[in-house]
Amino acid sequence: MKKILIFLSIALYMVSCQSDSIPGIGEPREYRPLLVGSWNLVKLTQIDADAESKSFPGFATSKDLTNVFPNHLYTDFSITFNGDGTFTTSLGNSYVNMLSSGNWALNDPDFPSAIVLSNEGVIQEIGLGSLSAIVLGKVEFKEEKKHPDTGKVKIRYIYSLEKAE
Amino acid sequence: MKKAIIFFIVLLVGMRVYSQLPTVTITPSEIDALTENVTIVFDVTGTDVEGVTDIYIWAWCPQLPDPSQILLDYDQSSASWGSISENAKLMPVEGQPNKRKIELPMTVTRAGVEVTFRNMAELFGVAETPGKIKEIGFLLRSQDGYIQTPGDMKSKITLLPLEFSESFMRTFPSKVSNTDVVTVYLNLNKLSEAGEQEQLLVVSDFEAEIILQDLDGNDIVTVGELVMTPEREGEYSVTFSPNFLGEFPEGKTINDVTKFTVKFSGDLISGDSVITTESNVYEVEFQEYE
Repeated sequence: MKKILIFLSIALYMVSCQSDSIPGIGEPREYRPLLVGSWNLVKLTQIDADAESKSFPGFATSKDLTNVFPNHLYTDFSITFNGDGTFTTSLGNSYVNMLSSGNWALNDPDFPSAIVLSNEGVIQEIGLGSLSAIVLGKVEFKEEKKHPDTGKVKIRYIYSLEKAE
Repeated sequence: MKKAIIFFIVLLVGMRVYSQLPTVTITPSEIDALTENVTIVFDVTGTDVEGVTDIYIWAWCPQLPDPSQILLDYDQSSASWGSISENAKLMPVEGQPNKRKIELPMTVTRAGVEVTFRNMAELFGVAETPGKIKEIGFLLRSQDGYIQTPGDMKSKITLLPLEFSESFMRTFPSKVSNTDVVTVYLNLNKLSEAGEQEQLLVVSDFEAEIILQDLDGNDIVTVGELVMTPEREGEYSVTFSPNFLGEFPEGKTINDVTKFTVKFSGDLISGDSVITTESNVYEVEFQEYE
């Protein structure tokens, strides 16, 4: 009985040590079709990057700006990416600073970090946050303010958008 | 002769009054108490120490208990104006006779022991509690102290904070540009530390007046009666976007705005009368971000 147990233990150990085959990472996701459609801004967060890096308390690190201007709600903002490469924005009464219409493209089709908006020579690059929830109809735009000398990010704005039904 | 003497006295007094403060350039431009590899250059052009061969720095940190002076100023247990240490002598800048500098790290001998200072916290002997240092006041002087630039925090270096600390007035984010959304906080729990009048404690509803100003301090946009929102206990806030705060006068844009001032006020009801109580005026400089 003891020998059988030892044998089984060795066998289990050897099986467990066999290398697993590493699955392929698969084809790059096509983000462009997932972005086509209308997106509504649901939340705008402002982050003090200095405070964040020093683990300051939450109230001194980030602020929800979505409803801070009752007559100029950021939730008024929406953007529509059309399949033909054009886009339109609706600012409503919000203070969002974005081109009203033009063409849109991803800066990298496979691994995009920004959406490039353009209109008659004016180009606006909108940073993309995590795209992990894009299949769920959620996307984040980000805007960063950097120190001109050090290049350090000082302030970050996170625009959370959800796809319109 | 008498007139000539009076003329020279008036001239000397005038020169003294109008003597300039040294110009400071810090590299990197933003530092905290733990930043290493720092160079601070002092341009003494037009100051009282211009022309003095050996210029010394007398520096202190108002947040520290005595001795609050920089360790360069003394070798023993405390600083003495009359016997400043040779360690406080600023280094010359090659080819720039009106400039002196400090470079970190720097190695000096204190009380017979070689010491290396790598950052501001070490220069003030608070390497274990660097968050205490928030700003540094300084003056430049001759070795004997008879010639000096103005003191009383007239010249100061503000450091990026390492720890969050409450204050009567703060902004969020702590440093903002004129294109950012700005939130100004008023914290009544810090009223006495700010030297504000105690009547503010019993004010019911707070309002703020915000004035956008240009580099010369000229008012560009003034907006008052901005209703403040209660936040945490004893704290109120008002949020504004400088570009949309009010109508800009003709020829002026947000690009002309370099700072703003804020003043808080509220009504104090005493019997049948209403007394408006105001805070001091606080000035905030906008940063330039890309």
